[in-house]
Amino acid sequence: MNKTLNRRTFLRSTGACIALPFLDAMIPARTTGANISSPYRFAASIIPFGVYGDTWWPATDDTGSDYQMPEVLSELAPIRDKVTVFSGIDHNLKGGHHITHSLLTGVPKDRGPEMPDGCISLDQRIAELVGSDTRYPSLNLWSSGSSFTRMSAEKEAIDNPYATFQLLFGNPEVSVQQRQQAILTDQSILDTVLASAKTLKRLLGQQDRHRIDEYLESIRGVERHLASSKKWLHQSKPKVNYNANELRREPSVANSILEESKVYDSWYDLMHLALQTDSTRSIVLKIGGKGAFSDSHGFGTYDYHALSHHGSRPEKTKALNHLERIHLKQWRRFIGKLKGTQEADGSTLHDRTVLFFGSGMSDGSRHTTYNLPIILSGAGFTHGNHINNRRQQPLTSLYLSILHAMGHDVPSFAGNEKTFTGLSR
Amino acid sequence: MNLISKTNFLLTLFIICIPDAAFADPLGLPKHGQDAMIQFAKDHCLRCHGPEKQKGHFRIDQLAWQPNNTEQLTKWVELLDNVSFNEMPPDDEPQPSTAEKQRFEAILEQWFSSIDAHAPRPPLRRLTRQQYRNTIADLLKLPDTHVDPSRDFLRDNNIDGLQTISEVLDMSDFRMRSYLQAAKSIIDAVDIPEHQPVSTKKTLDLKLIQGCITGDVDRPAVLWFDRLATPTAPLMWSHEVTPVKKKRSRKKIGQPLYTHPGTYRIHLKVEAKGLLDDGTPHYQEKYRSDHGDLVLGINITSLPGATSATDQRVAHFELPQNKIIEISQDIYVPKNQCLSLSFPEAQVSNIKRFIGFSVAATLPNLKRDPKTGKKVISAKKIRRLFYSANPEGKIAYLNQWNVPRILIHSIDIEGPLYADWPPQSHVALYGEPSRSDEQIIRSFAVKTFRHPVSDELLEPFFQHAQTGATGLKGALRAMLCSPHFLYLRENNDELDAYQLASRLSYFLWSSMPDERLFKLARSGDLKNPDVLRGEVDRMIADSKFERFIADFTWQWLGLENSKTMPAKLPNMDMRTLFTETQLFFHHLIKHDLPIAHLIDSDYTFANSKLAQYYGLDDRPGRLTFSKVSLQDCPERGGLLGQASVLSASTNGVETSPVTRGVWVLTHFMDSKPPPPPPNIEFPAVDTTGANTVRQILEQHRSDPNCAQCHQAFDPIGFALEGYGIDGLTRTRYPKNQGKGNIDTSGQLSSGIKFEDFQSFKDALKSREQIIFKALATKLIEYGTGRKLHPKDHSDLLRLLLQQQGGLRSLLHSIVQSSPFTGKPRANASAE
Repeated sequence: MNKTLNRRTFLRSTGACIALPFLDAMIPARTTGANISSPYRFAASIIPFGVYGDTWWPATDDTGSDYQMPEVLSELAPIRDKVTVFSGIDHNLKGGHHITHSLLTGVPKDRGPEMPDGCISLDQRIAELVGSDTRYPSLNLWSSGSSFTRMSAEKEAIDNPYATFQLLFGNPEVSVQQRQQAILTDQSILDTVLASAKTLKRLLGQQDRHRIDEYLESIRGVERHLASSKKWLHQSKPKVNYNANELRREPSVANSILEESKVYDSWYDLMHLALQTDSTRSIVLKIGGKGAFSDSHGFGTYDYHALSHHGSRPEKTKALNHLERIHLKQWRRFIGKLKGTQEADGSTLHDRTVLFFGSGMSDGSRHTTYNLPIILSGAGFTHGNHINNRRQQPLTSLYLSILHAMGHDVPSFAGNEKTFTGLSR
Repeated sequence: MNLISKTNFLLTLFIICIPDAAFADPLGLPKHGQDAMIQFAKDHCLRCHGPEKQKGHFRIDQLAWQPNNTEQLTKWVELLDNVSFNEMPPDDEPQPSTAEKQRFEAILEQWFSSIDAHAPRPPLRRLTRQQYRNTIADLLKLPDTHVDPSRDFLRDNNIDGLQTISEVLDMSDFRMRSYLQAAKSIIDAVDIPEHQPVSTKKTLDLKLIQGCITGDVDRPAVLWFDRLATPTAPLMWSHEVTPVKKKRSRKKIGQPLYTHPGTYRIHLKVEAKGLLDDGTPHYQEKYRSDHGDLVLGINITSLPGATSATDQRVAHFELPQNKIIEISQDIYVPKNQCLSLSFPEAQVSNIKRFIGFSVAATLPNLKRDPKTGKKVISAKKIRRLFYSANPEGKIAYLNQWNVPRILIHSIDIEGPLYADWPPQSHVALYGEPSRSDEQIIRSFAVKTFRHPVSDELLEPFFQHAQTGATGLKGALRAMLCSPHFLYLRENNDELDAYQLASRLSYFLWSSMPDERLFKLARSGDLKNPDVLRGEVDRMIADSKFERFIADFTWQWLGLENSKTMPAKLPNMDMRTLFTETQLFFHHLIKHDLPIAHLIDSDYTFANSKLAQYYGLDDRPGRLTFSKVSLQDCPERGGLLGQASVLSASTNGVETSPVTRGVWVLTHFMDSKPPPPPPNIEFPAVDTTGANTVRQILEQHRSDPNCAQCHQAFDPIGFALEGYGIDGLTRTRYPKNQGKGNIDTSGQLSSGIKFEDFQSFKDALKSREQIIFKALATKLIEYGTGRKLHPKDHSDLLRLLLQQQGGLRSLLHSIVQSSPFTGKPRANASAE
């Protein structure tokens, strides 16, 4: 009994030292003129099946700032000084389709247990470092398969924009007191569950140790979640001016895709709002790969995945190019929104957000996982170049550099201790 | 010519000169049969799988007998399978004599059975989402229409479709939160008021319903207005209402029909109007009803505004034309749900197929619009009329357009009715009123944890029960989140009787053991093979066995894929297609039919919708399935002729011989090909000159890197090319697949040629052991929660060798087998 109390007290005390959300904290800062810079955020956009290389990659030697942008990439021409295009960069992992899920982790899922940080993905690592400062440590949107926790558990994405809006800005149906009571009840139930799990652990052999550890870690995860909900209980959600009813009308959101689709727009709208209100500082948008791609440009109807196996057939690559341009056009629009949003310290939201665009696959038609299409924008680095890494430095070096640029001097990422050279801060 | 003989000469020389260097001693082949094995390999394998060539990346001379090396052992299994299933040597090579082959098989089987160690046991197995849902329903004796507490759970991962495999059943904080939440709703749902609620009978006002149908703004039931476009109309409020003027108001008005969760009796007088006024069937084939009969469904629907909407049909009735039918049905209505009427045959997305409800009393007063007398009308016009704000438009649609409709003469709803008080779910949880908290926890724990429990284990729950007024409920909630409940504990090599009872019931019922299984576990009798056999028969006869049929067929055949398809099948729904497959498989088990039926059959199961879809002559019930003959429709025979499978093995937009071929190998033959080689710099195949899929793939196979695997699945895929993404037959490719005639001929990698789907099925029949072994493997894996290991091979072989009879016998053999019970196998090497 005593032991339980101690643990609970500990959780409470860790909760207490966590600051108010940034938006509230910054108001006095602005009035007093104190020099507080707004926090760093991270937002990744991930496309599922790689790219059609011929219209994507700049020529191998055409590096530096005045490189030629091929057809699809030229969608970013208006903001070319704001982006860094990489080529020749990857994780040097083999395994075709399966390894695409390792884009943000750098570690195949089954090798997680051997690694010091499991197979944690970059966004979840960032969430670990800064997550307790915001209502939601991280957000995973549209489709799953990119984010993993330390325990190799996949983070499930919210596939519905309206549900996302409700989560971020909707008013809960029950009163603060009721929710508080519910949290207390849940906490005490978890204590009992934990005690019963310990009796089980004694009954089991070494073989089941991993499973039971995973279970105990899950309980701790819920406890952290409850402690954090408690902290935010009296803090009302931010108000935003956004017509959420529009989101409600979108039919079967998870499966509809692209082509002037409002769904695509609304995901980026929501990401922008989430960052602007500092509801979270780590977001992954994984663009859904399921679903037909049918459009008004006469390409016919294709399944995106089938399309990515284009076999160089011109009608397919043409449609694929069109689709890839949509991805970049949407991303550019998102960057524009961030650039147009002023932060309290005078910077723009774009200046304070590391923006990552990429895919865990290079060429969908050939199942290659080397030379991944990666583009960076926003905070942390000087942009405007095409950098050909020539497969010299692993992608995890870039991730470590991103962590450092965001102010987290962690020693390594995915076991890699080297930062990326050739990209200036 | 010269070159060939030279090669042969060199090869012969090689073998003669260094006869046994290729099988050197360090390979550690067992003494018994060693020489014969080497001789066999030299005679039949070495030329293509030796130092010279390694077809299929298989090299026999470096194969070592190392039972603890999984990779090596897997290759031995492959070798044995290929020889005993006549896959190797290929048909165009000299074949071993029967005696040679039998000797080879006998030696290898003996080697396998001499492996004494068991396959590694997988870690704790979490309940799958379906198992959780069923367990809760059985544990608390919940009515069939209870709200599924697992509906917001994360989907479970799978390995090639199987979701019960321990490795993929992970846990995370997100899942834990769902369990915590579900446990709360489960325990709360069992709560009852202090006194038994009084039952009342309410009659619905037909005028009100008319208002609902027409969306008349002066009438109050606007909630129905939005719902009319869907084939479900909820019955939520009684007639005691105050009029609301506001258009499209979402205000709740009137008296709710359901005061408490409980059983309600719905009493209906209805009449089908399936024919047009002149007595002819409707002009639109898709929803015509030849004799004017229509189907009325009763659904359980969540109240509007619920966070996760549900709509589940719980009963249906076939109504004959022009005859007033009285229906009385008792249905359990859970909290926040209501009854609704539905047209199971109507489709939401297609307004052309909408058929409406109408109220008998108001019909004669309606005028006929002169412009709309025509029988054929454009969809656009219907839509405009139907969605017009003018309520008269809707009446016109429902009546003057003469669509098939159901006339409602009256609706009464009576309830809540209770067979017992307190209800049985309350008794299942709390027992008799006088019991102490400790007694309640103790008896709940035995069922919930599926194993005898010590007081020490229960101590945390006893303590929790003492923490205030809600302590007991909290303790019960904690039990439903405890690992003792959420995981199947199978941590002995040989299962004890309780563990066996659980494994058996999660296998055949997807749920916890029932009273009788618990009793047999307590006495230990369950471990007696005869008792076990009796139990399996009893369980197959039980209606809970349908859960096995549904879960296993869904997973085995990878039908999950159909859920994420972008486009819906026109004029068909997955539920109907899946029902066919389930009934077919159930039939094979029930009647112990041979595996050959799975490959080809002269019957299937259909309702009239499916029969029409397939173009069968038989016309079974409109919704009720029955066995139908395929004498005139052989292309539907066997599992591979069923549209569920043909549709799920595509991506929903276009068919691909590759996807279908891989599907058949993975799910039907348990020999999933490896994924495409990663990062191999093979040139992008230039297919710009090619037209048909066949040509494209031929070009692709011209690269030996690709041919290795593609020659195994491409031909199978081509055999199925005569079916589109909707599972319907076709002779030409659709526009998005380059048109052109379809050619379904091919040659299997073993050399058998086939001309079309029928002769392909014949070829499969000659290899039915492969499919039988594949099914047995999938069943064991599904039932034990682990992928089979090559060390299990000897058990699997024994099971198949001793196998007599059909699929039911197979279930018996599996349940008695060593991989299932964990019993040490009878020692074969002692012979």
